[in-house]
Amino acid sequence: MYFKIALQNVRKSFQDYFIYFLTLAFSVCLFFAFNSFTEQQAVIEMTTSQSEIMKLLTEIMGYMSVFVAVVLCFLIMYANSFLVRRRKKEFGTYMLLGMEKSKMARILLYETFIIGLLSLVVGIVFGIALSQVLTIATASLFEVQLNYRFVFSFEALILTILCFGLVFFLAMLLNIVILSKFKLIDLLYADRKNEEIHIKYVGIYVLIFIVSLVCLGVSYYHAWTDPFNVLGNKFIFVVSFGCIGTLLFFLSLAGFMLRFVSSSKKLYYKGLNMFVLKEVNASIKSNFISMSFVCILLLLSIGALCTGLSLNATINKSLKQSTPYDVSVEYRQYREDTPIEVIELQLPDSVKDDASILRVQKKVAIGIPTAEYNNVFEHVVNHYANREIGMTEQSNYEELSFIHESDFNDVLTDQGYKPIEIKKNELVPYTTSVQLRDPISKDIANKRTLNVQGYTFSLKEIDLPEMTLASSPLIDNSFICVVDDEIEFDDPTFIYHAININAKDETKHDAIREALENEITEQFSNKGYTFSYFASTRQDIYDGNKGTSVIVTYVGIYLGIVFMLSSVTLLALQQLTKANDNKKRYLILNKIGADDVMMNRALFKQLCIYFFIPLALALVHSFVGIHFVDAIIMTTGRSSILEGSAIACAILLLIYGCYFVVTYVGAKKIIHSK
Amino acid sequence: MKQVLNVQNIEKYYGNKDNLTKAIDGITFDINEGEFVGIMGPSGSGKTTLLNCVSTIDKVTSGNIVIDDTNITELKKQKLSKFRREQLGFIFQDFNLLDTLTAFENIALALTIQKVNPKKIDAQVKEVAKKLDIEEVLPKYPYQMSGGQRQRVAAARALVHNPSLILADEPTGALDSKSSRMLLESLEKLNKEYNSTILLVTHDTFTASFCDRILFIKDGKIFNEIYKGNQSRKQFFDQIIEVVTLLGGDISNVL
Repeated sequence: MYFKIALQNVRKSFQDYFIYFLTLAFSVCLFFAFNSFTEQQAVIEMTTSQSEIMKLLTEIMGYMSVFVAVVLCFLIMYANSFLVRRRKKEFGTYMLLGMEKSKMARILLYETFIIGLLSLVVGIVFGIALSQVLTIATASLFEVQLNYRFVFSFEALILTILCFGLVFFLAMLLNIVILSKFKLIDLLYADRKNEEIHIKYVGIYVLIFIVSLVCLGVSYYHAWTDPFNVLGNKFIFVVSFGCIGTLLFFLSLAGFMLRFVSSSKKLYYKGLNMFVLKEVNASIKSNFISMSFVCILLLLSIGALCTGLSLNATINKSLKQSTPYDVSVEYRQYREDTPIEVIELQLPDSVKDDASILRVQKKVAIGIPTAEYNNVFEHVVNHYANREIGMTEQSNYEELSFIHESDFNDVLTDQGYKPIEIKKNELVPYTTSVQLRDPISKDIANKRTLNVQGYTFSLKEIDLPEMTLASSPLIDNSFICVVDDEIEFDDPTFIYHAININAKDETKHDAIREALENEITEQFSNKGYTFSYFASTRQDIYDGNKGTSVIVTYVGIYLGIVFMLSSVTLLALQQLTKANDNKKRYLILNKIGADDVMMNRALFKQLCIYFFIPLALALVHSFVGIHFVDAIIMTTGRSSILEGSAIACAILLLIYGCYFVVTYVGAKKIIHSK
Repeated sequence: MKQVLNVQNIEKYYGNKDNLTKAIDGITFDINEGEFVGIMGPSGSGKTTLLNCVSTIDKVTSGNIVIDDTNITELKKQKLSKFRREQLGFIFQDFNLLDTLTAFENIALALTIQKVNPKKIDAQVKEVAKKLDIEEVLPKYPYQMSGGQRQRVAAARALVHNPSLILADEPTGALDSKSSRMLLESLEKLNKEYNSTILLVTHDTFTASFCDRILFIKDGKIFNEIYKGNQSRKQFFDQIIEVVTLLGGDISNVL
């Protein structure tokens, strides 16, 4: 019998439950789809490195899912408690009739179970659909062929059921706790609203508002003008100021807005504006903590989405530049207690035959007394000092890398540029890092000379194109000095060799790489830690980068959407509760003569303000945030993330808009019901 | 004298085919400008239904209601809302003040809904507050006022737009005797000094005694009507008690 009651309840109040149900279904859908990556591998033709990436992605998704599950858990429990509290009068009636709390709990249990089951089923169905879409997306991200076949991950299914089962179980427990706290008299007279205390000194709010703006301003200023410091030790400072600023903003917003609008009689005394304003005032005041939370969640969401969506495009742009050769094998030898025994790699004949271009590139690093280094490269040193990144301890020597003119010119000509000419006493500093260009130019302009091992160099400036010197998975953010071929240094701190090859036959890239790798392991087998190497084909680097891009994109989208959903559901539920409490007030308005059109408009204004203020602030935050991320990413020579931001904002507005409409319709229905 | 309200043979049925209730069974009466009329009857007699029909909150099944030359039974929903806003004023039993607005704002709301010029609102509200002696409570919120003050604020709201007819449904129902008296004396003052037309519905004899004329309703019909005339309030009170006593006895004695 209790099951029947539960079933009827669900059917009756399905429209009330709709937002709750929608969010649940969507969460299940997302969860299932993003956890089905293992299955996608079977369908997409991937290279070995790509498969490795997918494995990594699945693992990361696993960890993310735990985090996401926790967030969703809180959301579902909040939604649940909201719904239970709304039905106070109904439970009051049950209690009045003599039903024991345990029986009521049982009804609630059945209801939660029915809704849970329904949303699970619907969610999984949509999840299966979504995972098909994701498969196609992954294929396009990796730029590979897709042999389309229906993808279904049984593991994901089990995981989803387990996870959400647990969440529902917790939600039911929470319901029981709430129920046990109910007192009969509270339930029956739940309509009698308790009077709220209103603070009279509205002036205080203006003050707090100004303080909040100052806080935010300080935070923005630092994030905008000094991003690298922020990444380092100023991070906590900026973040906490931002959070406090946001909190104070919402705390004071209600009072401030009220003060502001009520001073304009023309606006205040128009239609139901007085009522709307007071309602919004009360809403914001009682919910300012959750609104700040929503604002920050939205910021995280936008950030995650932006980064996720734009990194792919950004990475693509720089890939071509960072792979000048088909295959590059780099090896480094480090100086330990004794000077380095330089090993020149023997190149197998097969490799020589298959290569259309074969270059051996050598770089050395020499220790230069710190005083000398700091003097000549003053601005570079300052640049790093300001950044406080990668600062090693103060030592007596600084490492400076050198490359011969001919090796450098090899790369230039292979890329189709004109070679350079250097005199014996000249040195050309070269860097691919955009950030270092300016300091280096300034140092060259200083016209100081560098003394190294008896040689004296003057710094020369040559306008050089942006390029990397080998196809390397590593990014080099420092600078290198190009010197004349006749310059030979003693006792370097490390020696670097790169075998750069363009193959005659495209299919031979992997073979060449493997052949060289075998040579290295053979010839360097007893060198231990004084030696390291990288062997990469262009495809390897592409894959590696793509891999990062795929992972970041998916994680970004996953987190971004989950955060967005949570925040917007929170707002929607709060407003629906408010609408329920407001039913009485709207009835009064009706009785004193306000017609339906006027009331709907008032409701719309109320919801608009409540929904879009946290969004507006989040957008302002994001503007600064995206600029910050952009500045950081710029260090790796990658371009701006404008396109991704645009898409992120579009998705945000879409989801937000949908929830707003559903809330408006729901609230309208509630207040018009008799 | 101008006729403000003319109720012609109205009937009101509730329910459906299986279960029909006749709440109002052929009621006819009229009210002139400046009258203070009370409708009395036991619970279930149909007096609240009658008030709801007159006040356009509900629709009659048959008959006509003419307020100030407008036949409200013929008006559509939009026009009805407009009419209700402009021509009628309500005082409810449970005050129905918005708890988030101050007294001033509650009263002003009646004007802002009618899109009155914002500059004029201040003056009008203060004027009506003076009439009802609630000037000191204007900046306060409902929870800061006594029941009597709240009801007078509600009354002020009902009056501020100068309606043709003021309708009150058990206005003293939730008040103690002292507050009741204060409210009723205010209403009396409004009626005598400002010539407001008031239609009051009540089951309480004390409240009814403040009216000039009482209509007694039972089972959806008017069965008696008495006038105060030149009597004092106490004498009118006694006369009402007599009629009410009859209600408890044999019906045939009354009709």
